[in-house]
Amino acid sequence: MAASSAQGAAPVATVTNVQRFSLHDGGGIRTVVFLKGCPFRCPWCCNPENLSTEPEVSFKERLCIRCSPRPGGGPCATAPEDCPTGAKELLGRPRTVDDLVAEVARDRAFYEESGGGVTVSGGECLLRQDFLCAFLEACRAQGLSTAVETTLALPLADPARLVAACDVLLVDFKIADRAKSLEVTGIDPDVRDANLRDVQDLGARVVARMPIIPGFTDDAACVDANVRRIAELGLRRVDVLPFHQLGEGKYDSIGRDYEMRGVPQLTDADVAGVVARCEAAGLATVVHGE
Amino acid sequence: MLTPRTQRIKDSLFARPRQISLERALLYRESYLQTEGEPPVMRRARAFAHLLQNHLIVLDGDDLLAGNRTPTPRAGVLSPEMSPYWIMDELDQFPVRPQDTFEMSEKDKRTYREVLYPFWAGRSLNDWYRAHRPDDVAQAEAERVFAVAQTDKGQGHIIADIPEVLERGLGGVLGEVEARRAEAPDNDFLRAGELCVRATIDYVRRYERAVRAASEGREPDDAAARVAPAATPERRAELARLAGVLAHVATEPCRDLYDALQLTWLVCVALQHESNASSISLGRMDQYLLPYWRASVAAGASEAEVRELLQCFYLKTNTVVFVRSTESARFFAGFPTGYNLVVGGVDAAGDDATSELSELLLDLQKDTRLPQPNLSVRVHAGSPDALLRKAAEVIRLGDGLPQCFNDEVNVESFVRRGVSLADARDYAVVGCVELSIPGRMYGLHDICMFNMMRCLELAMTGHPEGFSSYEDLEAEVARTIDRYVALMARGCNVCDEAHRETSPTPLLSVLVHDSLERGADITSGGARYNPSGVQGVGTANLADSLYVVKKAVFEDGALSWGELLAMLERDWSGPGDEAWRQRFVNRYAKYGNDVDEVDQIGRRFLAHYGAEVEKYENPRGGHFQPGSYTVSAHIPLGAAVGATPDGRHAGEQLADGGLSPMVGRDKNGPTASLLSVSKLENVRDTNGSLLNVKFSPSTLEGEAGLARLVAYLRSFCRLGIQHIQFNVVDRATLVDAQEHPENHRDLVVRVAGYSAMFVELARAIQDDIINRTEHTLG
Repeated sequence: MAASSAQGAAPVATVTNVQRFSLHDGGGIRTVVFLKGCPFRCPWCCNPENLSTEPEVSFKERLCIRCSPRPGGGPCATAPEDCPTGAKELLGRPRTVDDLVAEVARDRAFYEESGGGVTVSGGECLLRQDFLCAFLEACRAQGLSTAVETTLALPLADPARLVAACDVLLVDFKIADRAKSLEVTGIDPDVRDANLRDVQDLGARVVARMPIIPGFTDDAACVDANVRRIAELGLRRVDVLPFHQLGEGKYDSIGRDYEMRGVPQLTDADVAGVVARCEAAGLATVVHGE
Repeated sequence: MLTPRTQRIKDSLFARPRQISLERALLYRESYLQTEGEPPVMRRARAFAHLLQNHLIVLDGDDLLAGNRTPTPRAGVLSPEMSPYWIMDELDQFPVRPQDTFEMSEKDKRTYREVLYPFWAGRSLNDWYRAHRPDDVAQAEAERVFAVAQTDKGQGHIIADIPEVLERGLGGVLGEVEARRAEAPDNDFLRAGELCVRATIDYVRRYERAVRAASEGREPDDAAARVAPAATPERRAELARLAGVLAHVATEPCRDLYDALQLTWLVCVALQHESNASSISLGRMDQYLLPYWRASVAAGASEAEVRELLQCFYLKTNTVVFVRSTESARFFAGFPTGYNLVVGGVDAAGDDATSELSELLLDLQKDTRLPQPNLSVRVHAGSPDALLRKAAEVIRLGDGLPQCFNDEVNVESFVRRGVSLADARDYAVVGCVELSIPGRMYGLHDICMFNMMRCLELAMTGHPEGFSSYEDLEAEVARTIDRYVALMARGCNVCDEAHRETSPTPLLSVLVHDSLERGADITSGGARYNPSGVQGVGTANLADSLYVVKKAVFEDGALSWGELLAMLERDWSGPGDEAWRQRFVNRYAKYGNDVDEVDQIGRRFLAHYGAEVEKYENPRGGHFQPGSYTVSAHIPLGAAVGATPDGRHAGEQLADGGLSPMVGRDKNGPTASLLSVSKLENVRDTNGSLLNVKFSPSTLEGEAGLARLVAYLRSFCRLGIQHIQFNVVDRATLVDAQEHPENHRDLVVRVAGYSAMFVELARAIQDDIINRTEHTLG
């Protein structure tokens, strides 16, 4: 792991982005911290730069002004920090809890006026549970509201600590069929559900999030199975997240293959159909989340 | 929704191209030919009275309110008595110039050349200004560090004491003037003031007679009156009712909303006839209309009736435009006529002053969807949620209205300058974002814009040898600012005196305290408060530029002073320059991203500028005070500045707004940009400052979007920023409107402190609005 914390030292994690004024990640005006690294591989991932745990270099062709030679048409030899335009950029910097809390605390006024706060996302932020809990606790100590976006499909080291530091967990419901999920994404829904029951028993507030992905999760059977499961788990609310193509350029810039290239986005009618199924099951449903 | 009646009125505003009107100029000259030898204040009063007696009054077949400035709506009124010169130079340009076009007949051009120009050349306000302007001020203006405004037009930027007129009636006002005259029979100002009030009363009666004749199916006996004949018995009854209102408000206190709106509008028209100036504003209309609105409601006026009458008033404010020179129209593009209308805020005791009427006046924008009145909402910590939600709903329409002002900083700002607490709590807005005290302040709020970036450029190019430290560079920039501020103050004061000597405004003065008590026109110091407001422009670019120089030259040694100057001199055209420029743009922190080190440079310089201007006094016994807004002037002010270390090309625009980050440089979203602005010493900018924020419509969709905008406004209030305004139009719509203006004739957008029809703006300003960072959902 790129920047794991040694015993007793200040926790450090590799962070790709701290995104202020985020509006769909746990309520109100929020800042989202993206931790780098994910053990799963969803083909539709819109944050592919957060798959690897290691810092990586991205290259955006359209920003390049060719100020240095580019042998064979590939990127030049310039170090990312010396690239004048930002065409070449190093993704992922080690950040300490203190440094990160100081940054996210800047928007306190907006959190307080909007009922917002700080959300940790990824990648899969449960890969760094020590850092995650330390960061959430530090945010709480500053009086900031906290949320976590996760598959919840990794073993929880200390569920009580996580629940105590987190105001809301936003938990993904993707491919409902266990065998297919394990095959396509590597996510085990049974692990998630067991964890979910544990954190609920500890008093956690959980919101389900259901990405609607053409060819993977948009069929009626999958939607209905997820809705059933969400209801069985006693959750009251689901955020419906329609597939989008905003991540496409990122695949090019970090040289990863993108399976969903050219797949059309959902129509309003498609989304309305999913919403109707959720609402029929008595779930409060929010498109895009809030 | 507009009613069929008000929809027809709205359509008629834009049915024909705007005309140039010489009516006022010709009547003015006629009067001046008769008054040779009298004091200027009397000559102005007589010319005003002559105009009110003789100009063509019109009422179309729909309107419920009388009062027209020009024979056709939105006509441009030339004022050669202010300056005949730019008009002479631009006679052929009116229909084809890039901004604010007008049609002008060949006959009128000939009249102008042969009759008006020869009469006014050598005796205008502008002649007085140029004859008295010191050479070094002229030199500084030529260097484009600042340009004194209002040297060729009326001063405006003021709010008359309309509430008092409504309450006492014009007869009551006349009574007071007469009483003052009895105490000081030789006072020319009081003599002129009395003449003007009488002329205004007679002017209301002219309308009454014409409307009454039409209501009775007669031709009016007034040859210069055109009232559309009543086609139906209903219209006859409407005209009879209107004639009754006019008969009453000619002298008497208002009884209800109809009286109040009619009298307010006629006073506005009369004041425009007198000054022909930008922004004779409406003030806190939700406060002073409240008793009349309540009276109408109590008397059984239906909601629909009240709404239609208010729609008529709102539409009236769009009938007046202000014709500027080509140069001035670059700075103030798209007719910021300045019917600023303020709602909300606190009362004299500091308690919330919002009423149901406050929300109604905001809600009307949903019907009219036009740039005037320029709606503003005053926000304070105790503003009710309902008002902010209503403001957010209207902002979300995308017309850029209302703009929002923050009592938490603006009241204190006035108090620090010696305004009484009760008066400070009554502040309102003139021009675009300038703060003024209604009926008590003549503030020359728009007298000058000061280009701090030219000062940076002069400081840098004047020292090819460089500076031994970054601090020395900052000190030299500060000294350059000081030197030119001194010249600016002198220039403004000459302009101030030019208005006093040639262009007093006795009617306006009667309606501004304490002119009657002092027996002095406002141009001679009659107002209770007398600041001169000068805008410091370039904060964002200055902070960005100095930060680059500090880091790249003085700390990192990435390049030498000489190398930097050479690149700027050749506008980044040398080999490898573009890489440097890109590095300066992308690799150094920029103002507007909540990065303290660079934001603090902005704070230091805007505060320095403010502290410097405060040292100067004006001839009316007031002090200079700083503001920071650009209107559309960031484009011409940028054109005056060569390449700068923030990566700007020579001639490229400066940051818009006044306090906004440079276009495209705020990458951390709208919370970070607000925090950057909050670090400035905002309480110092008593004259007003401006912050633009652009949201994509999707960000504000639905109930969640509304709640978000309300939360953003509350945060703005809490952060102590003076002003904020929003553009909520998506990029695609704006681009389409550029390509297909015929499909977007009704698209209203925020320019800066005011809204304008997008298709009426010049390409450069359209591009600027398109490029201002659009904050979308994260």
